[in-house]
Amino acid sequence: MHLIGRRVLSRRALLRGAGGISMALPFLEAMTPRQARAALPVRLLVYFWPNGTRGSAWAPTKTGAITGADLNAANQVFRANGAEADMVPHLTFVTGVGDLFGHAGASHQASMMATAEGDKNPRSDSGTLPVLASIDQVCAMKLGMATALPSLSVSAASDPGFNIARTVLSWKGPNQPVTPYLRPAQVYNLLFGGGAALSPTRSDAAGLLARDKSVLDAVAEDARRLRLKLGKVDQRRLDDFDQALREIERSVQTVNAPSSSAACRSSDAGAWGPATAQAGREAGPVESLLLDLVVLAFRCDRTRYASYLLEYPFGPKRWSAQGSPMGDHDLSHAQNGGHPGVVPRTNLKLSYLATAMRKMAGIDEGGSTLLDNTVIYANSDNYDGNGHTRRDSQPIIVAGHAGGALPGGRHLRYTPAKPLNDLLASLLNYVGVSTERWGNMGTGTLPGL
Amino acid sequence: MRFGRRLSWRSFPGQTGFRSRRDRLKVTSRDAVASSLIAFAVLGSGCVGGIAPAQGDVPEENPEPGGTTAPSEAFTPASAACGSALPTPSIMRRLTQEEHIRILRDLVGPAVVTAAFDLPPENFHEGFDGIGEAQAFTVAHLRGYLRAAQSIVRGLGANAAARDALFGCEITGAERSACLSSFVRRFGRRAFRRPLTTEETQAFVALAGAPALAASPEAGPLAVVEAMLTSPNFLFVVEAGVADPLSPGAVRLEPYTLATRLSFLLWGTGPDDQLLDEARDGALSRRDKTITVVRRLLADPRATEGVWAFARRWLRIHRLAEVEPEERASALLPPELRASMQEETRRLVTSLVAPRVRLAELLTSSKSALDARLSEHYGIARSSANSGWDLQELRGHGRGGGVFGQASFLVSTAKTRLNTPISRAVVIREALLCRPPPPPPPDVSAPELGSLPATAPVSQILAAHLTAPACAACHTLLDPLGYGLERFGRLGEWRTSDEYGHAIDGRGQLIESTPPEFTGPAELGEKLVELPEFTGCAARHLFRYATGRHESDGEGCALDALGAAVAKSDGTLGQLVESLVTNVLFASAAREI
Repeated sequence: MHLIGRRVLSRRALLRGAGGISMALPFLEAMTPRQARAALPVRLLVYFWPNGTRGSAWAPTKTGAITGADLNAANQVFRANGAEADMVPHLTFVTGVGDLFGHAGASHQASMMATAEGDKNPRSDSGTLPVLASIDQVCAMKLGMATALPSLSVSAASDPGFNIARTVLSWKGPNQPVTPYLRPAQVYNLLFGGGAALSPTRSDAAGLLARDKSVLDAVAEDARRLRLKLGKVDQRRLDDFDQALREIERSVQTVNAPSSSAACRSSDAGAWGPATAQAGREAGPVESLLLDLVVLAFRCDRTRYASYLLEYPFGPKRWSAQGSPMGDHDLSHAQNGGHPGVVPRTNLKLSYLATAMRKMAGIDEGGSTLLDNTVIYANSDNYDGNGHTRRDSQPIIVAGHAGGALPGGRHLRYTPAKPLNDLLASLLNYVGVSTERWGNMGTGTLPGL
Repeated sequence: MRFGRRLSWRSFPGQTGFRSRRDRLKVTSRDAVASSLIAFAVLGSGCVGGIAPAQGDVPEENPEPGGTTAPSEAFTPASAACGSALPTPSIMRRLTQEEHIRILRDLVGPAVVTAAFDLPPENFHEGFDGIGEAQAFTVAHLRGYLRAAQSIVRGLGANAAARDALFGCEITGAERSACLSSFVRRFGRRAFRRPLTTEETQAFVALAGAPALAASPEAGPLAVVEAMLTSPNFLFVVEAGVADPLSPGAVRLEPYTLATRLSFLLWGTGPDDQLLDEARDGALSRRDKTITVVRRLLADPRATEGVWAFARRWLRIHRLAEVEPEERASALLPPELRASMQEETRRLVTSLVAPRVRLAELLTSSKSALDARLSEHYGIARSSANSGWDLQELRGHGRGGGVFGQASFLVSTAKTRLNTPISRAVVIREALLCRPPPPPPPDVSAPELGSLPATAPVSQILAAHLTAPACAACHTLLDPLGYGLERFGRLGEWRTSDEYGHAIDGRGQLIESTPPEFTGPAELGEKLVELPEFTGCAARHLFRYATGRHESDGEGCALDALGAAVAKSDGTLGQLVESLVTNVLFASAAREI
């Protein structure tokens, strides 16, 4: 909305209108933290699974250092099993950290928001839209310029839903949801189908490049003119536009530079196979296909920050091929939470993560593995799915080694409980965004993590 | 150029010109666009907020088009009973994927817009993908839009006829310069949905003459097309208005913005040249002329597609092709069957565009068009042997009740076994009553649901919802309402017992109605349209769709009043639309600092 007849431009508007250059500077400054010094970038995966578990079957039987023998019934999937490697040395169970302040609103979707962004939402009417950015998007905004895609959000949810408050995990800010990709084929094309919009195929690449730059310059100029007319709120949307435009301009300039890391050769993507991706949702377990693509995107350095939504809490997915007859939310409440399918279902919901971790542990990045250079944060909307408990604790797993900084094989319990914000602050630091605390409810970082 | 001088977008801040209100008045006496804006600002005082003038009070003759009509006469004030109906602040919205494609087809012709473009999926909030607050804009979006613009430019490069039609004049030779600037103005006006400013025109003409674009005579103007189709002025719905002197927190929208809202509301695409001309000539500053415009738009074939685009979002059936209410839904609901389901509802909805059809038919119609596939799915013997669409009487088959008995709705709203009655009730309450249940209290525990086996009847498993204090406040609004549609499975099929053999009686309750009891969709529909909420809720959804934002409490109250008045009168969709777009609610936006 802009006001016609506003006679004087505010100084602020003029400064803003002065253009992308002045805006770009602080952004570049933000790109210099820890990340720049590390030999290999630290990747972040946020993994959300719905409807918690049976509370009594979750926490490892002891705190401190743990092995597979200490795991509880609902997370057995991380233990060594035949040929499957033991993942316990690579992960930390965190209990006593939760949605401490309780979101206003529904106990499922609001706390799904909280898992990745923390903080309580003051808007009691909708109750569920977030007030902060989710941590994957914080990293993307601060550090994501280094790769073709600042971030990648995927959802294996069984239907798209018609209300983002219930189905979207990643947010750039209060009214900036990041739409998850649902289809493996679309993700594959995004990653490898000529990532940049402008890829000259003809021999007169230089001429085409100049042409493209003329067009983009005209668009940028048009955006600057528009900015002068817009109110503050609309300018936020134009900020998104300008940022996207800068990313594309950059890709035009570096159009011939190879963007893959040494660990990724084109044959890797080829072997995974566009045919598999084209098969789409129906062909195979979409849960695995999408997570494989995230791993591939990390490996090929197409993006470094990803969020993965296994299913939203009220989603109808039943996993009947895996022997479960009921929708996940129904199952969590069946027989007053006592249904024998609950614990196996939790292991199933985490099995995709365990498999991805094993794959990442097998990807060599020149002396260290992809898992060594990644931070994985897995959480659910509730701890006990039947009781909707989530304030005192959520079922949190932190995995990977953040380039060697993050140990594994631990169970950390916090008494009294700590807010989720503090965990998120710690994770941001591990990925390379220095922060002392996170969000309005944060008190610091999580000691000992 | 003629249009350029008369219609320069000169009242935009940042343009040279206005130093004082007097200056503005001087200039605008020659300028049709700005004159109606100034009329808003200057002449409107004393009228807004008063009693709506009768239609006959509007002067028939205007010495200067749009120049002397006080805008207060163009718009009915919001219901006084609602107190302040101040607009809520909102963030500008982006074209949805569907709108983007439709506009491109309008702009360059369908021959050049061949395929769908690879854009990120849309976010749907309360059914709609055009809500600014819920939309995303990322580099993947801009890449997609740029690719779309490039593919169109490639298409135009290879299609001389489409290209010549687009340019509309001789782009080579002696006329090149004049042709170029007239093309920039004409195409720019359609793409940006308002006339270009002088500065904009100069900038795009300069782009066309850039040295890097000298490869061919067409290269320059085609680059203009590419740049305009990638511009935020095209991709975002930029709205403009003037301060409302009587309502400090509000802005009155200027005519081109009103034309754009109207066109997206009724056609699902941008305004055509005629509508932009009507905006220029002041037609949208006068109630009688606005109504004439609305009737023209509704009579246009594009309204069929536009109204359907709105209704399938409103009724939450837009994503029928994607939902998987059952694990094996892809096998049980093949794409052709889903397409038939949507077509059944499309036929019902578009019949509402016709005059004299009450909006209530949406929920009370006892007849429906079925093809052979749907007849079989519903288990209804066809009355004729032909294989096409056939209007069938549904009474006696458990259906009727408009969309409540249609598979598109029943499938789209289905979830898991336990969640289906609740989910359907939530949609009915959100979409048709605008009385969503309050959210559950935090940390509500569910031990009350007892320990029945999963194969027990749904209503028995959920029985404690209606007695446990923590649950009952919401679930008495939901579960019994959903039970009324339980005789339809998650595939929309008719059934009298559930998957474990328990009989289902299809009896439900709509708490707001007296008596609340009903059986099946037809009785539910009859009860629901009798409620005062129904038409007001339709108005609220039209409003959200048209403005890209949720209404404020005051606006909601005024929309309810508006709907109630329509329901007491003709009660047609056309009347509801006319009433809405001539109300000040439609012509306002929040004022930003």
